[in-house]
Amino acid sequence: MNPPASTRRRAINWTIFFAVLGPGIITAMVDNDAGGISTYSAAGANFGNAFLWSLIPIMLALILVQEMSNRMGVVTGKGLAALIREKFGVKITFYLVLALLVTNFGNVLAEFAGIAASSQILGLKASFCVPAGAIFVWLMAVKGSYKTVERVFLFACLFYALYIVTGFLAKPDWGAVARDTAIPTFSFNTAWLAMLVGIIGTTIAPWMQFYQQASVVEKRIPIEQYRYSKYDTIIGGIVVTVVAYFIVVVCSATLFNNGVQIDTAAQAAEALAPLTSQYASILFAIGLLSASLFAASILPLSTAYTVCEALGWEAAVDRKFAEAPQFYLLYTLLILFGAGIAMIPGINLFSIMLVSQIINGVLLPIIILFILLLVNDREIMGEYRNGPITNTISVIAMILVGIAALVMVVFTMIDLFR
Amino acid sequence: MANAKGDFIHLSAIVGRKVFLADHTVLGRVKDLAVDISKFYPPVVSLAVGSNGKLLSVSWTDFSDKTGYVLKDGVTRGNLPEFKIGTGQLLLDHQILDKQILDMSGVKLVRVNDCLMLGTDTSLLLTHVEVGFRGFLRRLGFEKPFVDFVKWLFGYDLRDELVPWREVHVIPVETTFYGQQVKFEVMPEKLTKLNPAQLADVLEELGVEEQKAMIESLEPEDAADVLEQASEKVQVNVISAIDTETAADIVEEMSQSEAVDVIASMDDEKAMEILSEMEREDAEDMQELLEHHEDSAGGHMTTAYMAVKVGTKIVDAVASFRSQADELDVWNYIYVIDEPGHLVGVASIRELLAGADTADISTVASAPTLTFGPETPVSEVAESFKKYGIRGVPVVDDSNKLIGVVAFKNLMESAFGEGD
Repeated sequence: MNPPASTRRRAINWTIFFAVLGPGIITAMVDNDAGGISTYSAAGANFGNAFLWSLIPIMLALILVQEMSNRMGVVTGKGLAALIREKFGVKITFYLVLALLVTNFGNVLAEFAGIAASSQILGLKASFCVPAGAIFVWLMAVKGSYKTVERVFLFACLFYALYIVTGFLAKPDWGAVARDTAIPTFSFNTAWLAMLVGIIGTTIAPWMQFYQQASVVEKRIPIEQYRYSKYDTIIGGIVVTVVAYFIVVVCSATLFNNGVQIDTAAQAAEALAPLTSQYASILFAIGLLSASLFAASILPLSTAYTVCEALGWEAAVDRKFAEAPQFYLLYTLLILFGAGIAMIPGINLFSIMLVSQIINGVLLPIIILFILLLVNDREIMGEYRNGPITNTISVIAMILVGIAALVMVVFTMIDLFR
Repeated sequence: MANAKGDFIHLSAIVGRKVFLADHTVLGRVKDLAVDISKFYPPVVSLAVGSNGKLLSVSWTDFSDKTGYVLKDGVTRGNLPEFKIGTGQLLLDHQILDKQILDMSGVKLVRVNDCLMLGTDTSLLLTHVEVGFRGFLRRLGFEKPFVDFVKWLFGYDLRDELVPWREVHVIPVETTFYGQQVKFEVMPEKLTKLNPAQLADVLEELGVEEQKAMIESLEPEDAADVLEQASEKVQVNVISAIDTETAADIVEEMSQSEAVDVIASMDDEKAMEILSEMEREDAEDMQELLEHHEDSAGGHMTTAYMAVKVGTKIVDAVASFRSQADELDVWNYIYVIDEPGHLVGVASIRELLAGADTADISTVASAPTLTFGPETPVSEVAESFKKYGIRGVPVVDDSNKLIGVVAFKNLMESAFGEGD
């Protein structure tokens, strides 16, 4: 007997789900890059469990903003940069994209620095690993198709599970962890506030909206399947938070309880070895290496894509080199300079990173404002505009995120000129 | 008027500029330009000038000279009409600038950075759109320093990249301008000059609204040709998005096997709506094909094959083949059925054409050696294609009634995709 058509379609829902899956999860995963892991490690090592509770509201804000740009991608079939240019004109788009280019380049640098630091901890030569990593990510985009690239990245996501394993190896006091997650604590001294806005700033970053929207556009997800795409975004938000959570837990249970202060993920990995087991340290370093490598390929890709989209140049992973020369040139230069500068012996990336963070902090509220304006535009979104409740929640959440971003700019400025 | 020769002016230089009355007081700023696209070089019908919160319509002949800054004596705020967008008009800033247009000569989508206009004493004509980086720099206000710098450093002249208006196709998306509904019809004959495969490539790149607009601007049969070349995702998205009646017209024009694939991948509700809008016979055929499982012969068969009754003369069979050839999915074979529809013979087209005109079809047809039931797994059907080197296999029900044919071409498409 033939199954009736209706059951056939209900049965393939999981197929649709897995077909739609990708953009949200990958974006979220790249979010836990070298900078992210460093921030979460520092939060755990320097403040213990104090910030565990904050990860949940930050996750909700992240899901809100990603869902909006994701929805715009599915509804319009256009990237965020293209929508901004069509609605707000060429000048503002150009300066936004220029700012994005600079801040993303800072992030790319941090990724290659992360590759260098983690490979050293693992006993590998940074002078080999950084160029090898650069060539690997470059080839993947130039030679691979969108589908293969997405598959490789989805597979790479599994590496993040290492942090959860490390979390258990560290044997934290789970009762205390649960209590500190459920009950928010506030301090309101400068160091505490700087850490909080740092966590917000690293978790919700402007490139993420551009990247996720571009990915759903590339995937051509039909509006009928939008709910699956929404699940993808929500799962991404949850997974990114779980990973961040375990990093904080590990660093809190080990480094904080032994009074070890750190600034970077590499320092955290090194400090873990004598305190717990050699395995925890190695797992932490492998996690950092794969996260850095992963982000080092996505960030330049996303940046080149956004710039080309804004300026009206051909841009797609599926194009040949000759069809999209500006795209590949930009992509190559970002990797070349990112890896090149990170390999200069004894270089201090600190001030470059601070500048990148300042631009990041200024850019975020502007992008969020544009997203809110676009997602409420009847002409662009039609019946898929924000409803009144979603809108109220989004506006409040986005104002808070915007304020946090600007506070971070102030702190970073102070750091930079001290 | 002594000077009949015109000057080229960039759109970016006009939009946003101040317009002065004859006494050199400011009337307002140019917000947009409406052109009449029915002409070969679209003339500017009116400039929308924002003045004290109102939108006034200024025509090119209202200006005292062709530079377009100062209005003639006697043109006052009071006697200028309010700006209204007319049918067949296009707003250059609102609808062209920063939007994607189709460059017909290269058949690719490009984003418009600027427009080039020819201003004479009597008219201002749109002649080209600019898609190059130089136009982009001009909009930012960096054109001269950047161009000079590149010239100094590399000795390279950064040129304009212009697309002549006759090569431009605008994708007509509905929009509003200062509260006015802007709807314009484009000249679809431009698109039909391109081949469907090229248009399908363009379709893949477009935004959702634009995809819808492009397909709706085509005649159903042209739209069907284009959609058949597009990826299944785009087919499904577009067919689901456009209004049901148009969708039904297009689906009817598509080859049956493509149409079935599209309908099967759609939302149930929307699929039913489209089927109910289709002609009854087509819809029934389609529904029957939809019942079969995707991995069986029934799920891949088509009813767009050629069958004649026992006793048909060859000349009549050839004639009816000729008249249906366009719509057939299977054109290598002709099937012979008896009165109740049982399959009794098969002839290749070569055998058919080689037969004598007046002879009976049975003189060239042979008894069918290979048939499948609708439940036969696709893998088995594919195996038989390989083994016997045939192009189509008839599908029969339990009583040997012919219900469809699996064509080699359709099976390949579903096995290997359509190269998207």
